[in-house]
This record gives sequence, C-alpha cells and structure tokens, in this order.
Amino acid sequence: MTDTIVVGAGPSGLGCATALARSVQVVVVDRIPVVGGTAGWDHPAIQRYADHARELGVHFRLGETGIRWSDHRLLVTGPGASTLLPAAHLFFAGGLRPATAANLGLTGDRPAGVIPATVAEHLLQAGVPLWRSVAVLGDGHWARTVAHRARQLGARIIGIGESTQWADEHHPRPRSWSVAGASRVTALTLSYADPAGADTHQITVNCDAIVLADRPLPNRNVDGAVLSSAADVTFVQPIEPSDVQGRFDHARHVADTWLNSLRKVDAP
Amino acid sequence: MTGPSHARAGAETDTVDVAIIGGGVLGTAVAARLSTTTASVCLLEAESDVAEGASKGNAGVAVSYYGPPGTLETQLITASTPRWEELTARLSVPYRRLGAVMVALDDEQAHHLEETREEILACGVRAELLTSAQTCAQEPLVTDRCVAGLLMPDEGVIDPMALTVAYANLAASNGVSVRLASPVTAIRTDDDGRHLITTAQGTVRCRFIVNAAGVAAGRISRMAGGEDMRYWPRKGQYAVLDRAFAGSLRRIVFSTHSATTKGINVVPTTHGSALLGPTANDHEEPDDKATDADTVAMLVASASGLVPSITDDLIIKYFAANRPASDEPHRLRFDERIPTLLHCTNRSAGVSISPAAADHVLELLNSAGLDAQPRRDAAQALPPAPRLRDYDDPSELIAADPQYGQVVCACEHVSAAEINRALAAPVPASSVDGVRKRTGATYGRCQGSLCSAGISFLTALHTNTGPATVKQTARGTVGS
Repeated sequence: MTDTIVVGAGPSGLGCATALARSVQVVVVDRIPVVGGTAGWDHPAIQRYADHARELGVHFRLGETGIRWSDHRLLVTGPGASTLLPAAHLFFAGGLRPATAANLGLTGDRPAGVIPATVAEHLLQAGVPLWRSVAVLGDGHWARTVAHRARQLGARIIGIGESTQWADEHHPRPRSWSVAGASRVTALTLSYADPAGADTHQITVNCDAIVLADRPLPNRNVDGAVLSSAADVTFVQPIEPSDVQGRFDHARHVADTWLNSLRKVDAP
Repeated sequence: MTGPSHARAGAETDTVDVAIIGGGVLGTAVAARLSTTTASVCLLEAESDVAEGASKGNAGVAVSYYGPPGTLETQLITASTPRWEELTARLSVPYRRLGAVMVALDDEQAHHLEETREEILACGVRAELLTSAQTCAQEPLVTDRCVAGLLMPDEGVIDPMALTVAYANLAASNGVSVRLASPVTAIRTDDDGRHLITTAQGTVRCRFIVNAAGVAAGRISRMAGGEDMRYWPRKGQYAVLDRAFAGSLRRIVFSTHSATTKGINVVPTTHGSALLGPTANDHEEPDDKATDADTVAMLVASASGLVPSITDDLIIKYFAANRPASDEPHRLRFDERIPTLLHCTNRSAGVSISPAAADHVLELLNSAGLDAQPRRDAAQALPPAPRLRDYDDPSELIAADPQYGQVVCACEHVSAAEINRALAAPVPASSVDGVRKRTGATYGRCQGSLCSAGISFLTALHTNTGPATVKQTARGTVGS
C-alpha cells in the first residue's frame, strides 16, 4: 500500500512504527545508534517494543540522521553513506528539548555558564564538579534531574519556578529575567511586577551557572518537516503523556488514526 | 609553516617587519595580504580567538554602498564589491550576492529614497527605483504598505566570522605568527625608530605597526605616542530568525535611511537564517554586550513593519556587539606623529572594505619603505571547506570522507568533518563558541541543546582540556 518513515526511535517512534507496520512498510531512522531515545536503550519496555517492531518487519536505520524531507524523499546520512529514502508520509517523533534563552526571553550578557539542561545532564555525567552555585530555570523533569546531580557534586541549587522543593533557595517565576557576567556568569536578575503598582522590583541571584530547564518544546531538525504546516508530515512529540508506556500508546493511536484516514480515502 | 603561537609556551620575542594589532576582519585581511609578500608579519590579538569584536557581531552584509561619494571608504567599498565571488571561492567563505531592496513606507521615505539613489549613482554603484508592485515582486515578503523601493543588485551576504577566520588561516599558513591572548600592554619606540611591543605573552620588535584594534585603537595610538584619537563602543543588538521562515527571503531588505540612522534591516544569512538589526547605542563600556527585552521587542516591531510575517516566535536568538565609533569614521592612514604607525580602522563597514583596504595598507607601507615583494611560493587560497548542508546529494562528499555523514549539529546539519576541520585549522577553534563561529554548529533553533555537549567533548579532546576546563566562549570555561 504505502511506505512510511518514522524519524525517532524513542517510545513515540516505536509506537508509530508498531502501529503502522501492520498495514504499511516502515523504516525507522534515529541519529543515535540504539533505540530508546531519552528513555534509554536498556529500558525493558523499549526492548519489548523494538523486538515487536522487528517481528512486524520494521526496518531500523540507527546512527543515521534525517536531514531534509522534500518531494516525498528523506535525505538520510550516516558515517560513510547517504541515502534518499522514498516515502508517502513522514512521522516525526524527534522528542523534546528545553526552551532556549530566546524562547524564555532571557536577555542580558552572554557569558560562559548558561547551559541547556540536556547539555548539563551530559556534562555532569562526567562526575566532575563544574559549578558552585547553579540557578535552575524551570521546575520540570530536567530541572529535577540536573539539580539532583549538581547537588551530589557539591553545588548549591537555586530553583526558579513554582515547585522547586529540590532547591536550596527558591524564587517564583519572574516577569522577566536577565544574565550578568563578562567572562562567566556572575548573576541572574529576576524582575517581578510589584503588586502595589506598575513598577517592578528586582532580585539579583549570585550564581556561576544558569541551567535552562524550563518548558519542553518539540525538537524540529529535518528541513521541510519543521513548520506544523509541513506537507505529508505528522508530528508525534507530545509533552503529555510523559511516561514511556503513555507515549508509546499515544503514538500508536496517532498512527492508527492516520491509517484509518487512508482507508476512508481508498474506499470505493 | 607556522601555526598560531598561542600554543607555544613562555614569553618570547618576535622580530618582524610589520606587527598588526587586532585580529578583527581588517587586521586579519591585512595579515593575509602581507603574508603573500616577502614581509615578515606578526598578528597580535588580545582575546583567545580572532573575530571576537565587531567582526563577529554584525549583519554580515558585503555592502556596495555605505556613504557619500569621494571618501576613501567609498573608494574601498566600490573596489571590493566586484571581488567577492572570486575572493570567497578562494578562501572557502560562504557568500551570496542576493541584492537588496530598500523599502519606503511613506512619501517622506520615498523622497529620501530618491536622494539615496542619487548618492549611490554618484558613487558609481547600481541602483534602480521601484514602484510598490515592483518592490513586492523583488521580495514578495515585503509589506504591501510599501510605497516605493530601491533595488541595489550588488549587495551580498557573507559569513563575517568565516571571512575573518579564513584571512587568519591564510596568513598563518603563509607563516604569519598569529599570537592570540596577547593584549598589548606597552609600546616603546627606540632611537632607531623600531618599536618594541610588550604583550601579556612576550614581546615583538617591528619596523611598522598596523593599528587595527577597532574600538581599542585610540588606546593603542596613545600607547605608541601617536595621535590622540577618540573611539567608543556603539552597541548594536540583533535578533536571529529561524531558517524555516528565513529561507523564503530572496533579498536583503533595508529600511530607508534617514538623516540620522540607517534603521533596522532584515538580512538573510549564509546559514539560511536572517538577522534583524542593528540598533545603535553609543556608550562607554567595551565589554557591555547585553541585550534587553525592550530593544528586542523594538527590533521585531520595526522589522515586521518591513516584512509583516516576522513574529516573536520566529526568534531563535538575540545578541549584541560593539562596533568602533570614532571622531574620524574611517582612518586608514599613517599617524601624524609616528610615521611608522599606520591606523587601520573603520566604523561599520569593515567587512565590506576589507579586500581593497588590505591592498591599500600594503601600498601605504611600501610607499613608506617596507619594500614587500610578491612571494611566488605563498598560498593564495585555502583548501576547499565543503559544508554538508549545501549538498542536495552528499554521497560523493561522504564517500571521500565518512565523517561528512556523521551529523553533530542536528538543526544546522553540521558534520563531524566540519567540526574537526575547525578544531585542526591553522588558527583553530579553541572553544565551543569558536566551533560555532567557524561552522555554524549550535547556531540553530535548539541553540545547542542537542549537540553542544558533544562539541564540548570534541573541543576538549583537541585542546587537551577536560569537561570543566574546556572553553565555552573565548573568555570563559564550561565549569568554573
């Protein structure tokens, strides 16, 4: 009937693939050389989903990156080779990333020490104490993980958000925020609307790192499959559900809905 | 062949014909030009990388016109304009001659536009008045509120950081000693007229000094006993628009110049994104490169007046930089007191004058007795530096070097081959930011959320540092 490509081999990508593979041919592409995405390749459910997908005939291209989607072909590159994969439809399940400084309206200086949470997680895995006093912007999953790890390595944690129980010092989300520091971060300034009037009051938090760990946004990195209006692309990047099983089931549902819409078109 | 000597340990003295102070686009252009001659040359840069001042924070336009006819700046711009295709091919620098439309939004601006056209024609540069409909045909994203336009077909967009780095790489591969992290602390002139320049890392003895220190040029002149010249930082803020939108821009979109300002422009970049800016705010603190929310909001409001589809949510980044404002907007001449001190600074158009300015500086030095002759064995070009993203079908590229197939920066599709090339160049990237300047990695919509850990590790490997000590910017490390 129809060939499809799924970009992303995390819970959402595997959910799409197992649902689609009952009716159409499926190729799954992921830039990481193992399945699982941020859930991790050794997650028991991930291994089950991947085994099931393989039984259904899903073809995996792991360690390869989708670059460009145009004219129903996905340009995929990997070490040593590139391929143009033809497909009628692309399911993009490229996961989530933390909001950037621009997404958050974080202005001011641009010194070293302003780090996306996903990067901070990687760096802290080296087990080396990097920072003494870390301002963590946000209160979700990334914020908790980074705060926990940085504290284990001896850092004091300043939480900026609504539920930051894990922090040593707490501040509510400000109206605006800005960074100070010439070579390295020295402070974060938080501006709040004064309840008494239009004026703002400011709090300056001294810190030597700022971790961007606020709201998750969808990763979009295949040209031609970035804007939500992209032709013949279905984006499967939910914020909720956030658990592995929930994301897998959600993606199956999205893929089934797409298959059903095809059947309606195909019906005489 | 000499690499950048910041890698060498300890203080040392170089004795050269010409010491260039400043590793911005003008200093490196002069270094590259002199490197193909018999002159011995040393380039001193205060920061730990080249292109750390105005040369990394500008709109990336190689202009064909910037000011009134008859000035040296205009002569150098018009001499440089036809050379970009050849020069950028030779140095593997991204460049596209997109042309520009200048847009008038009311009758007063339309009147200004006619005056601007007269001035452009008087410079010997092409410009053509357009009706509202013709303007929108040239750039369909321009507002239908525009009443008139001016087509400037010779304007181009260039990667100003790649250009500066390429000039430095050519200079270094021809034997110029590129000394980074070497701020000048004193300049002494001996009785024989030779200068002794003291830096934080050793000294340099030279016959001629080229003062290309940008906003610090006044300080350098005073140190050398030269003229009292005033320079101050003029801060420009910029916002960067997502490629998914900016890729549909065909031309540079200028606002109509007024008597006092050149206004906020919409400039496609060679990376496929677009820049909004710049603002112009004179101040006193060269290290102040802070952005602020009000100015960013103003940038978007002004730009959306030209291109209505520009909105807040397309912004992936904002930044600021200081360009050198001065009491003498362009200063390419010998000092009036010290005959072997050659000033080489320009207000905003440093990139645009750089090819011809470098020739001009060589002529001035030779007229003062440098006697630099062309050197037949000098490299005039850099090895090709292909970018994965430029290929519709990269299979041959990847077959020749498998690392081109390994994408490190997923948003901008920068491969491991490009990153390792930047880290191993004659003037190599020594920080994550240095990799960004040379390759565009982390420059996309996720701003390094996915790839900058990997780039930190690659940079640490090449610079013999660790996770905490690897540099994130030219000045600051990842850890503290």
